[in-house]
Amino acid sequence: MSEESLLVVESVTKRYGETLAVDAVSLRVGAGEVYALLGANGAGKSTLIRMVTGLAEPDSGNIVVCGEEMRRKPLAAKRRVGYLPEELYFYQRLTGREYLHLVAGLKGADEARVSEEVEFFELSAVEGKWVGGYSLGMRKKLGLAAAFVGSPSVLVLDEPLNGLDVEMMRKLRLRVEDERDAGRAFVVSSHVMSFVERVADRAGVMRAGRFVAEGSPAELRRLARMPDAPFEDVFFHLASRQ
Amino acid sequence: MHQLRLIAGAWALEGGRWARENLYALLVLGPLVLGMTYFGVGRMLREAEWSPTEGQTLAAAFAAAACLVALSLSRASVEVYHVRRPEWVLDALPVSAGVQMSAALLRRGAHACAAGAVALVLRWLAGGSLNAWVFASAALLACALAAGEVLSALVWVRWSHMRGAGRAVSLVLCVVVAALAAGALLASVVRPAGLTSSGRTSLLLATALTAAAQGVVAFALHARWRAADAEFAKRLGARERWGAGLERFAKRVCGGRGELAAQLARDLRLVLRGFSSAVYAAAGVSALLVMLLVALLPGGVLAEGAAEGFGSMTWLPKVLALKFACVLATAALSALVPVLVAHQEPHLWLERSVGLKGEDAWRAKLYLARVVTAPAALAVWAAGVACGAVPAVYVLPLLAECAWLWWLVSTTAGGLAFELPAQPGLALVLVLCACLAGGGLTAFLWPIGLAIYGFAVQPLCMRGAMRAEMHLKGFEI
Repeated sequence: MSEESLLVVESVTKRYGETLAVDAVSLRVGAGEVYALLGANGAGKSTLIRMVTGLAEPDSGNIVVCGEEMRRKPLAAKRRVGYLPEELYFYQRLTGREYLHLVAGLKGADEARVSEEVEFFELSAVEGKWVGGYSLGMRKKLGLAAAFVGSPSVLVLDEPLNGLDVEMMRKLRLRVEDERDAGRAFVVSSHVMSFVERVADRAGVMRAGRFVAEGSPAELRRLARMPDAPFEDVFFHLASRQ
Repeated sequence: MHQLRLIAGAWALEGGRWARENLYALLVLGPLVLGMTYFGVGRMLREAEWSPTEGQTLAAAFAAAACLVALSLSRASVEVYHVRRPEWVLDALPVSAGVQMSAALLRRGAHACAAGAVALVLRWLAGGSLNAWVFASAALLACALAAGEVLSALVWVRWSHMRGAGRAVSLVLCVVVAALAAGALLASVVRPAGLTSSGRTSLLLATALTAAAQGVVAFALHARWRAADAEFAKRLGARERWGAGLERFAKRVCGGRGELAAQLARDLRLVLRGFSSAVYAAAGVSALLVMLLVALLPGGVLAEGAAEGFGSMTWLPKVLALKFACVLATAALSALVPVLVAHQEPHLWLERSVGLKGEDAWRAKLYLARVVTAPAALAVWAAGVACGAVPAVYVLPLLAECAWLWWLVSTTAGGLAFELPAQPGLALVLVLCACLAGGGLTAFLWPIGLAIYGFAVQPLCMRGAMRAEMHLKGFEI
């Protein structure tokens, strides 16, 4: 992992009416690092991710992606980010390949890379079919392929494993590790703790919009004083402690 | 420009494929409805001794444009802020707010082209010539409507978000300005005997300037409000305002049948929350009709007439006007049913997974049609009585007639609820045509309604239950 921070989140706060969704959160993710966001539903992970990807604007604080401020230069910042949202909406009557070409075109990316992603995510058999007929797993693979198209420096993946089969989960984990070694930064939100423990360099546990624990999986184990327990128990302990 | 071309290309591809999927509706049902309208309503209009004055045409054009703008508020806001739409991806990609706004305007413009085409058809029906000026006016009409709809949608979301009297006034102003600009142009296109050439040029120029100004303001407001309002638009209508009373009411209406009551309560809740701007438009049209009655009945516009006996009071001009208004107001609110069915299409997994019968799904929509339209019929009757338009001895019989019309029209709408579940636009036309035809004849002579009910509405209801069953089973209908 290099010292260079590709993603910097500085004291970011977001409110929805009376609800404080994210409360002065700070975070740095370096090149070649996988950062896992953990937390129960409603802890603020998705809101933080939406702000990091420019889908929502923070009430205060600053987000910098590869040296570009999201607030001041959103297009330059978004050019460096690949994003897989939890909920996916596609054009029902476009084929998978057409959709990926659209995304590549809008990103200004090399459209030749589309074929590589189609092949990697095993979409070749359905690439000519309309997305409306895809299964949940196929749609997730298409979303992942769209996130990886254009080789972004920072990849933000919200629940990337939902709907994937075991083989594809493994393949995705290896891909994340390869891309990390190539110097990309990842922010991953997932409830699959075994995946998080294997792939994450650091993890932050969120509750009520704040980080309640942060560190490498090994550090989190030490913090929870649970060296041999399943990581799921470690997370539960950290997320629920006062 | 490259990005806009890519987005428009994706839409064109999707639209073309949608059209290919709906060839039956486009090539058979659509022409059938248009043909029936041409040979029915068109013929009646051509042969009628009455023709609208300049003022009436203008008023109707303004009202039509205002309805179009009001109806499109929620659809336009969803398109601008990409709520649960594939365009969400634009927000996460390096696509500027300006390109996104241009795309939304383009999409609205494509929809508004239908209004331009209808205006051209109306002109042709009225015997007007189709020349370059008329085509330019129809194109400009589409642009003016698109700009007005997008600007009004932006202000509508803002008002929903922040509230306040000032924002409400701004919203009304936006709708009124859009209706004035588009309405004037619509009237000039529809009415063959029209303006002088300098008048046409001035009108085109004025409309173009208004549309351009609306577009510029929309771009500026979108850039300014987008960050806050996009988030809010996704949560619009998520607040609970109706308690358990609605469930109790639904249970009573459905005779205690839980599976029906649960659906009816949900549907009523969606309507009361304004699941679509169609709710506002339908309620607005019904309210306008009642207001129109209140304005017309006391004046001398409608002849007093003299009844020769109790039985002939049903044909007094004012009583007839009340009954036709009852049909129109009920039909306007009934139009919500097919729109709601289309709105619920993505969430049907629930009905399917609990094994709901098609007949129960259909019956819940029938009850909904009856419940949401009942206030309109009552309001029309009350307006008539309050204005003193009905002889005292005919107050109660008129109530019975209004109730009969309400029952017939709402049952017709309920029967057709699942006729075209995936095509709300066409379903709306179908429901309105059927309701107005049946209701109109019955308003003129109530016993005709018995024949219509027996020979047409009852089979329609049986068919409705069957269509709902097919729809729930996932057949393409």
